[in-house]
Amino acid sequence: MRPLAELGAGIRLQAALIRGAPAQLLVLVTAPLFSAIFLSLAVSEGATARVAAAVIGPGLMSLWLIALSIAATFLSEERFGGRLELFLSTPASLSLVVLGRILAVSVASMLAFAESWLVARYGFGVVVPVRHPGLVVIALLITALSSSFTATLLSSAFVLSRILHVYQNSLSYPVYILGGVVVPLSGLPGWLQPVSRVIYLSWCADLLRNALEAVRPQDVGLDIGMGLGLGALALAASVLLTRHILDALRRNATAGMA
Amino acid sequence: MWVPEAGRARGAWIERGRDVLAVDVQNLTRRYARTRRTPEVLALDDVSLQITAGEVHGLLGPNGAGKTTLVKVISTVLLPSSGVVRVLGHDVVQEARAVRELVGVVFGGERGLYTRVSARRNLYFWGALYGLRHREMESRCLALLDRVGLAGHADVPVETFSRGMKQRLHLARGLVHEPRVLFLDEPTSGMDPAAALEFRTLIRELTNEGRSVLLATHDMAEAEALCSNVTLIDGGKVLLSDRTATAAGMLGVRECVDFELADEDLVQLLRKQPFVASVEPSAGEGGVDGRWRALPVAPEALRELLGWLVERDVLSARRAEPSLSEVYLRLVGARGLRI
Repeated sequence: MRPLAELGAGIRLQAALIRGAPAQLLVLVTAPLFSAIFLSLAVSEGATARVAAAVIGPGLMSLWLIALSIAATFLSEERFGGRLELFLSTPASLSLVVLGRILAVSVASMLAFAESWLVARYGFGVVVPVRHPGLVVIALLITALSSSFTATLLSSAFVLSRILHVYQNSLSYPVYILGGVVVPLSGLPGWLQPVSRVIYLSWCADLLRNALEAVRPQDVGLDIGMGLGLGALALAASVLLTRHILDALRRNATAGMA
Repeated sequence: MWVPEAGRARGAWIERGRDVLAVDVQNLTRRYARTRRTPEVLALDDVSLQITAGEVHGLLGPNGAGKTTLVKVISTVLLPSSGVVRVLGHDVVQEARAVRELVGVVFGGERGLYTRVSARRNLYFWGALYGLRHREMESRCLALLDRVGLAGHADVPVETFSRGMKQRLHLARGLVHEPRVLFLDEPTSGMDPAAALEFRTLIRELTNEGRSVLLATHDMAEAEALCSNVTLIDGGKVLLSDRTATAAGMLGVRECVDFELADEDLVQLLRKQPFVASVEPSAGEGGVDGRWRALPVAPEALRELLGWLVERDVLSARRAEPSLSEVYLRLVGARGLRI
């Protein structure tokens, strides 16, 4: 029960912080604009097959962007705010609290999917059918979880860096491309596809497209397993890395340094 | 097993069937490694310290003396370089998690809180990290906020709080899991005098409940009022560790003489007398209005000192006891703003 309480503490704190500073969810304002760009390209080219991708893309972009943003800033803010040292004096798991906080913003950013769908419906008059609603919910859940797991790993990796925003900016577009977020992987050069398959988003994007479009979704089990499995691997790596980093902070007395 | 009252003997808790000290520091050394910009620093040098159950132990020393480093090592925030530190019998390195369940930490300053959320939300968050259940947390947080005078501000964002209010919230945060040992680092900095007095009452209540407190402070009056024992450190070394009431014995005398004298030449002359150890401006007065405190070289020299002053018509002379401040100043030295 204790791990769940720590996870819940992170979720509730982040929810309160979002209420205090809603600008954290600014991506929900920009997501419809990205939707408009992608949909206008798909609709003007008559590529109806790409409409679903144009709706899913901005949602996945928003999710990754917001998870990356909090991952990059979280621990440095805790250090600068003098809270990381206090945290070290508690028996709680830092990874779980970080995961809870990232999970809260990831779930909130899911609204971007709904926004995209509405932009398509009312902005472009295109109805994207939701053929398998249950599978869509599962796909969204797995995407939010794996995004949070991966961002938790990044937050640990970023903690000792002083150029967080460089990493943050550098990791956005490559992941959009390699994750098949902007265009399906089939549109990428063949030699890039194995690299893409290491990125959890590529499996999640496939799963979402399948759930929306396919009459008979293919390889759903594989998509779910890989999407969730890669995320879980990232979480396990995060737990180990966080333990190592916290030991280093205790040894080097750097927890309180900004 | 914690036996709060009946089972306690000789200032120790019975833990795992044996008597243990609240805090037991033995030969602790902590080095800060050399970096590209800074040389290696020996922050704590062979420090030993014991705190018993229900004791308020004052940790005194100038800026950079090693007080905060010591508190951080005991509270598992820092690893020791060498030596052994135990809290209620648990080693801070080998049994860090057990130690963290037992201790509460309040670092001084305004940092350490989530300023965009309310005081209540801050306490809920930190309480959850110690495994408090929601219903228990609700009642405990409200009681704590009431105890530190913030009940009326429970749902107000912390960013609107004054420094003193933040300090009170820090204290509530440190108490949220009802720790058996509390480490307070400059807990009254920023508090107004009335709040600081109330804080002293709170600390006494905590010790009456059987908790032990390590209080790192610059405020000698606070240390004298609250602490049964004090440890003075400087340059990472323990200069003095004694009962507060008898710490003045370190100066070699139990009594001194306070007097008023405007003639600086006469003060200089007094300083040269063989029965005088020192003549300093009275603590807190700065000597600007001619108030001085003279320490005799030995208790038997007190009469000679008084006689010398009376012979020179200094009729304001009266016997007094050296304060903790004087012990501090004597041992640490007059270093001004140097660290």
